[in-house]
Amino acid sequence: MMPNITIVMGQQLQCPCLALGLELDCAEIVGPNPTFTNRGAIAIRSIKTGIADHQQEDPLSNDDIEKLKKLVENDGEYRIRISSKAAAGTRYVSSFTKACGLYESGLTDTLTVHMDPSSNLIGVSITTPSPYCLGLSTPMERLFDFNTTVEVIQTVPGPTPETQFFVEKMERERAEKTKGQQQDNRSFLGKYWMYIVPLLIVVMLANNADPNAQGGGSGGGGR
Amino acid sequence: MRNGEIVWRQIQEKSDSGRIDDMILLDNSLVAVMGGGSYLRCFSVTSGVLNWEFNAEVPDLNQRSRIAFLTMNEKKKIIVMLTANTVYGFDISGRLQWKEDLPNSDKVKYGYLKVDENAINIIGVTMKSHVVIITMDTEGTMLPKYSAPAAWIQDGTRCQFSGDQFVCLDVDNRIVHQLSLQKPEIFRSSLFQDLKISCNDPQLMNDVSDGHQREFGIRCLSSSNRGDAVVLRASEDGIKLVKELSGVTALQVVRYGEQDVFITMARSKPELYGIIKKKDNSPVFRMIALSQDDSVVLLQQTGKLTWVREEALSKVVAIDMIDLPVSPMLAKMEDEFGTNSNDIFGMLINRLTTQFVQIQDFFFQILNHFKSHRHSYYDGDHGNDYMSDDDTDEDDDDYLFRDEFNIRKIIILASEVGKVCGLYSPSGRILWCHLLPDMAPFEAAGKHLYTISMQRTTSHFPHDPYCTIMGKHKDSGLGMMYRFNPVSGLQVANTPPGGEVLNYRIKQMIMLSHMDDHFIRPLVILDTDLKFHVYPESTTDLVKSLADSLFIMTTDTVTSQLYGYSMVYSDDKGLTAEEVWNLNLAIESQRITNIVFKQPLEHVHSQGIVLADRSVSYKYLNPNLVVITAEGSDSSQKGFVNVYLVDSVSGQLVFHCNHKRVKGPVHVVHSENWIVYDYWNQRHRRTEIAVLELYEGKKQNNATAFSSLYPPPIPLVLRQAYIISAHVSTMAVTITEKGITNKHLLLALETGAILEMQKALLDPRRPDVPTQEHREEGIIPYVPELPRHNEAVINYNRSVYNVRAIHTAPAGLESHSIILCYGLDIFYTRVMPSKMFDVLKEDFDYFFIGSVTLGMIIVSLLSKKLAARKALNRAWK
Repeated sequence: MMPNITIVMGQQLQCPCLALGLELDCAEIVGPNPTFTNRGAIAIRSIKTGIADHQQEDPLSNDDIEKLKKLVENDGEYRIRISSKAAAGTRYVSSFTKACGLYESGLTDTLTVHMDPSSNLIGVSITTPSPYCLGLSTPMERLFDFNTTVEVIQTVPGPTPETQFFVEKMERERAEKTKGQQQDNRSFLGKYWMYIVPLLIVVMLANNADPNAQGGGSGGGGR
Repeated sequence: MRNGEIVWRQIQEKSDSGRIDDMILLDNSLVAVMGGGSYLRCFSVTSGVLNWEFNAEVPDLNQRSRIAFLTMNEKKKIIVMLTANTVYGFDISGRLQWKEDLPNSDKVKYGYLKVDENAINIIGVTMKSHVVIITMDTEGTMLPKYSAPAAWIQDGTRCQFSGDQFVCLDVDNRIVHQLSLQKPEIFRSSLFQDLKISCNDPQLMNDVSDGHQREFGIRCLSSSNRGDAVVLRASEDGIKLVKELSGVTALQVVRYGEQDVFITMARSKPELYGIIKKKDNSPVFRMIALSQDDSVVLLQQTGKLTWVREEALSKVVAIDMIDLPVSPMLAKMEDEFGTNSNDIFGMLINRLTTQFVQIQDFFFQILNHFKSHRHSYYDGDHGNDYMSDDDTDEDDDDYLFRDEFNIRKIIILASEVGKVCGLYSPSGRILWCHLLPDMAPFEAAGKHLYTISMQRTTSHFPHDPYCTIMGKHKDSGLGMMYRFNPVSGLQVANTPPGGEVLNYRIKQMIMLSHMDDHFIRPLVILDTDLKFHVYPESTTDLVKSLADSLFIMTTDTVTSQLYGYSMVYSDDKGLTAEEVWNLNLAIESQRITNIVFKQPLEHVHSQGIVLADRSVSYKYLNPNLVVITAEGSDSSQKGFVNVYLVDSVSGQLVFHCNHKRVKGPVHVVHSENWIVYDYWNQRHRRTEIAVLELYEGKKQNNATAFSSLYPPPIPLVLRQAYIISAHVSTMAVTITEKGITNKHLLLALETGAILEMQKALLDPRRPDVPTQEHREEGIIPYVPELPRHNEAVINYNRSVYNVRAIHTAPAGLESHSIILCYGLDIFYTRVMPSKMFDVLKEDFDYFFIGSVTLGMIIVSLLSKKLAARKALNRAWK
């Protein structure tokens, strides 16, 4: 039993230019050449916000559930494959998780789809909420339908040196500095008048007082 | 010449334009032509100074250019250079005298040049069609050209001049073709049978002749892998057999006076090319030979070896460092705890004997100490020339044992030609060397590499350490391995000396960190048929027990696909690999250039960093994380670099980012929770260094162990980029025993310097506007350009060029990290990133501290006694 998810993108897209189809297959048979069956489709509404839906094809049959249980007993891996049909050809990526995690959480999983800036599919990973196998058994009614959350992650631009900001910061600092200097220049006379004026007065007084002092001196000498 | 030391060295461009095509020695200068004629440079022989240089426009860098000189008379000499489409004539001071374009240079490959007294002969070849002969006079005017049909001529056909004949060897049909330069109309052919020679795999031998000799040699490979050679003479009348030689691997014909002399070399294994230098006027020869194992040998006529240089050490492709074994005494002590026998009396006797030996050794040591003290007084006059300090070590019998702080190591090098050497790290002395003639390195992402796996380290006495080097077979491409003891260099029992050829091709290999009962780490090899092989086979059971948790990742660099496999064991098929995940990185013709794992030896001391608000940001420490970089160019020919962080077990893409308008080469350093890489920014024309740091956040998912199958949520990636005003040729990071010491980056620059830079400068959290909290944490404010202090250059004036990689290893002291740079040169040193925090300073006052402590103890005892007495007296009252 091989569920197959088709990721269909571009139905309610904000950017109509991105129209590509992705298919997702899942394998539950362990072996060198697993056969994948259709599990469903993923509709990506917007890559930027990472909103996407998973639409299941059919509920799992009893046969499928038996296979899943057997896989859990053997502590096997549940594998998924996702494909996108682009102009350049079909791209496949695949991932796996422990089957017991999927079983014990009642078919709850999270698919993370990775895409490059021009929306080429590069990778996928599947995680389940309870990663550790506790050996619980799950009621049958929870094993018919997948409860899947899909996240889309796109390649982010790499870091670049923040020269612009730094230059601005430097300029701001320099401007402040020059501003401070200008203030200083402008207020030089005004700022120090209280020192300069008394000094001048003292000098003037000293000049005026000089003859007096001399007189005093000479007078003293005369005594 | 006398002792084999390099007098001068000029380093040429790394790319194709720096490849030396041809060289001539002219009086006191050496003229070399490089990169298909893009550069013609003249150096002074004695000093190596560049006298003059000429740049030519060359359509194809890969075609070899030729050079020759023309003696017109005593004063006037002309240097003739042949490139793919033009002939140039220069005088001795580098002035262009004349220049002549060659006809039909797009079809005809001009590759042969011979200069006579008054004519220049140029021969061009059109594959499978004909040969064009152009003759010029000394002024560069072209005389009528001839063409001779030669339908047999192919890409690999080797030809040469021999006197006034042009001789070609047709290997497939065993025919020697000759063309007279006087009457160049038609080739005259001589069959091997007619010459009465029988020869397998014939080869022309005169590789470095100037074409004036009349004889030439042909090397034959006979079945016993020993070369035979024949010497033939070409003349107007045809080709004549001059001499047949057996057991010859190299042959050189030189013209000495009016006579042609040929010199042969016979040796069973290495292939030798001989260049003979004439000494004065006496017919005494000295010979320089370059052998297959990349060593250069100078021999005298008597066959005496004057010197040997191991040039293989400039082409190192794989490296590892191992600790020296502990001394026998320590080993015996450890042995006592290691054994699990229950014989009490035996153990008692063992203990007593070891202790007796210890006492004995102690006395000997004291005696030796006194002796060496006296000895060192004599030594003091010699000065501390650190290049020759190994002499003192060699006197010591136990120099191959571990020192107190485990700073001395054995360096294992594997060179491109398949030579494995062991070097003693303090002196760089070669301890042993072993040539694996059939081994060739793997090629991955444009790099050549061998893998050296330390399967058993030196710390498991009495078991010998052993090491495995893996490569591929030169011709068949099958896997090859050679197992040896890294200390002695001897091969491990039942390993053939040339290495063991495996009957499959290696796709991927991994050494597990688990050890079996004999402390051997199993080597798991995945072949191209997806079957696992375990070495040594005795450890297969251990691997089987771990099969459930073993995953392996392979990268297909051609299709840019990544595959993850899990190991499956079944009784009928054995250990096989099963594909569990794949990633498709084939975007816009990008190709994968780096696949960088973490260093397996690395210890991370702290699980997180403490922020200013006293909360902890936990590091994302995924031991299976691998950094993959891919380079390519988009539709408008602008380069880009993509960086992917992949969990190699689960195939989870942890993070991926993209740099536009940049190009490689990208060098990656991957350590702890951070990744540093550099690239060339095409728009701003500068080298930038980017840093990524990964954090789990304020909460740790699983504090005890990391599991890729149950991964924590996608980590927080902090990122920042910086500018560095230098070209980086490679990068590495220091590594220490316990990981407590700060990390420093080591950048090998194109200028020959090795720059040590603290990691704190490359912190992505460096703030634009620092706040009080940042200051409290000690984060440096953001400055886009990284400082390049001259004090941070750790190799001072010992420049190292074309550094291929830097290897770092921990020492026994936490503060020390050992580094080894290799490329054209090998440079070894140790660095202390956090200074010597765990070593007492030299001026530490032992006496003062000791006396103070002693005084305190006495005072405390006295006061206790006095206090007791006082209490007693009070009680009596």
